[in-house]
Amino acid sequence: MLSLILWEIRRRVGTIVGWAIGLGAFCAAHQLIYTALPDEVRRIDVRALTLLESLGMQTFATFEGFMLSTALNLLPLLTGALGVALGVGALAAEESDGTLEWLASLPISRTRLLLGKAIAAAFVLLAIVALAGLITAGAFLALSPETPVTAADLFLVILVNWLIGFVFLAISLFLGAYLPTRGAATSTSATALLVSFLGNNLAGMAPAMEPYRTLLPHFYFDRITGMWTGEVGWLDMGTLAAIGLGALLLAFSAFTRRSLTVAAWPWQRPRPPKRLRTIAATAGGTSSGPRALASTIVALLGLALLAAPVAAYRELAPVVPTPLPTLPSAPTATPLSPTATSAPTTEPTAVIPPTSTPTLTSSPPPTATATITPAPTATPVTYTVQPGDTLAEIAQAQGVTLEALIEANNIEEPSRIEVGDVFIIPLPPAE
Amino acid sequence: MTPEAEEPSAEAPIEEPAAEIPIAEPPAEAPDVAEDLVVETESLTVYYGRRRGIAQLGLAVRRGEVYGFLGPNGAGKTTTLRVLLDIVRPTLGHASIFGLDCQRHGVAIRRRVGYLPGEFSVYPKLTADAYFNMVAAIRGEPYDEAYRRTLTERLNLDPTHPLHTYSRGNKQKVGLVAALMGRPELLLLDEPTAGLEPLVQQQVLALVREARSEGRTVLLSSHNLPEVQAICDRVGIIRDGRLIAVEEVDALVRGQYHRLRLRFEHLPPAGLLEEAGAREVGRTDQDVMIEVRGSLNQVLTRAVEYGVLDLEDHPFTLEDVFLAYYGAGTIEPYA
Repeated sequence: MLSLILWEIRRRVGTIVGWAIGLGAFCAAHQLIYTALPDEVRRIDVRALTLLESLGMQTFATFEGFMLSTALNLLPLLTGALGVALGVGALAAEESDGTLEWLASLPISRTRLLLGKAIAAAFVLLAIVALAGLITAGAFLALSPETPVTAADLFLVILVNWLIGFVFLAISLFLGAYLPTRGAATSTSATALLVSFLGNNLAGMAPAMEPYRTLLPHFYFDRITGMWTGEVGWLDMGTLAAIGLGALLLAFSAFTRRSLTVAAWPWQRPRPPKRLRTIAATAGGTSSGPRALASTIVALLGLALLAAPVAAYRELAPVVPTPLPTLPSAPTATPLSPTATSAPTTEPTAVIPPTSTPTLTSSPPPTATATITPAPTATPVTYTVQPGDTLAEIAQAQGVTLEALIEANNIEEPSRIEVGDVFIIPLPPAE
Repeated sequence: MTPEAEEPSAEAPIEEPAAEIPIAEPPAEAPDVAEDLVVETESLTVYYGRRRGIAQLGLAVRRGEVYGFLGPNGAGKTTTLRVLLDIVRPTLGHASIFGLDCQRHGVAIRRRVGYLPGEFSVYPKLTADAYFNMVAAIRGEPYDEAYRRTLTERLNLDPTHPLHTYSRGNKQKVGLVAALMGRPELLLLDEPTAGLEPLVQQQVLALVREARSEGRTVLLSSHNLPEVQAICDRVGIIRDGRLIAVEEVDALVRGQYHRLRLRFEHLPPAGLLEEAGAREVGRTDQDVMIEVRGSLNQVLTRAVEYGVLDLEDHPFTLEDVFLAYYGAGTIEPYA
């Protein structure tokens, strides 16, 4: 199997170099753009623009914010696409091209064949992401923009993209193992990727869709990138790994079960006429008993792994259809508080959340809230918790006291709030 | 389908380590090897959804023989070979090679089998040499470098170019070398001479004969009848996924069947020769065309009474046999 892995990697050296340069250049170019941005552009707070915000934009005010809003925002989509390309290429494409038939005729079991291919593809993915990270870090050192982030941080935040790539690698391996043709595998995997990426971003706009975000791998990935803004999201990394492994187990189950080369959809797979089946039953049947059982168990295990994160994160996503949070409209947000730009630089360590601080402070200043309050009758003003928020910061930003916020929302443990929670902002004390 | 399930069994039943120097066996004695079956299938049935691949197929290939698998496209030849390699799973029935179940001991079997797919596809960027190295590496066996060179020379193949630059015939040669170079005990060749120029075809047939003379077994599918007649010991004829006849090529072509044209002084009445065991397939006002299975004595004794002026032998070819099974001819299958 080792030789299979080595050969699979050797065949893809061109892919590694090409993609690494491409992704590396993509990230490096954004750094170049950042250093070339005129000051007034940096001061534009894109959070004020709802649409951009929904696409994951944060702020252009800091290097981190800019990178997270642009290059690093799109990178999970690109890495996911790379995972799909590798996953489809490893199985479905080879089956359609006919080379899989020949591989399957070699003395190697189906399990090892798939395992070898999966390992090789995962390694190729890792090599690409790591090389792209090195290129980006190199460009960072060369440009040395003003930021508390180090080159190592940048490298790690790019390296972690491997996880999302792996998830889609595994998903497309499964779809390639289950579906009959390259086209079917490509289109379904690509659709899954787009739904995950866009769905996660757009669900941020519609709280009613919030519960369904936990079904999307990019939801967990987004939380990982918090490693710049807070602690490392080990739980989310584990979740992604579980999703990937679950899909991989399903791939094994599907691949070891079926006939290769026949390009049959699942419903076209062997079902002999009833008459023949009764003959088989009397003649002792086929010899696949224990093996079919094993593969069913593997499939169930895979499904369990896929379902576990969704169950574990249930409480993250309250199924309360809340009214749309009334975000401050763009013009009212223009008076940017000077703290937006000064906040990150005054902080010597990168541990505190620099990106989320500006986003918070740029949220409606007291005056903005006041302009909304004239109609305080039925629809309360709400706020959806963003990564890195604390209750105190929210209260401050919304111009209410912490106590009032806790009381209005019946919060029992003020230190534990979750991203996606929707809080009602109580009316500020009368002036 | 875990590796653990397949691996241990891989060791047990191997009689000789695969890909060793060929053992030049003495000419196989036919009666002895008769029951030594290398490939055996029992009511093998494959359905693709509602479409039939093969049905109730019982195949038996003896050790050391060249077995020709005959049938038009779509009859189920490729499907059968794929089942033997556990690429396609049978809907019903069993298949075994070397006495091992093809599904349960797939790895152990494939270690001793060389396969040429009917539509041989290659990785375009590799050179043929790199490709052979890859095959050897994945098979994980040392193999005879000199033999591989001999093969490429005999097949007139330059192995130093990337595979995507090769013509269809050259790709076919690459597949042949890959299948042959480990000197496997059993060769499964799906239309081995398709797309090759005549000289190379002859080389391929010679290589198959050599494999047999080394005591190895060959199962090849084809629809090139003269070729099958030239190298095969036995043929199985497959129609609509069913094996409808198995013939010993020697017996068929030399001896067992006769087709004669007799010119008579007085034409015998219709049906008279049939009483003597012949089968009349045509007559003019002077000639009668008959087919006889087995001894000619009775028929000729009867014919002489009517004054035989001339006798022409029209020997059967495999093509006649084949056409017979496909409806245009007259021979009946063996009882």
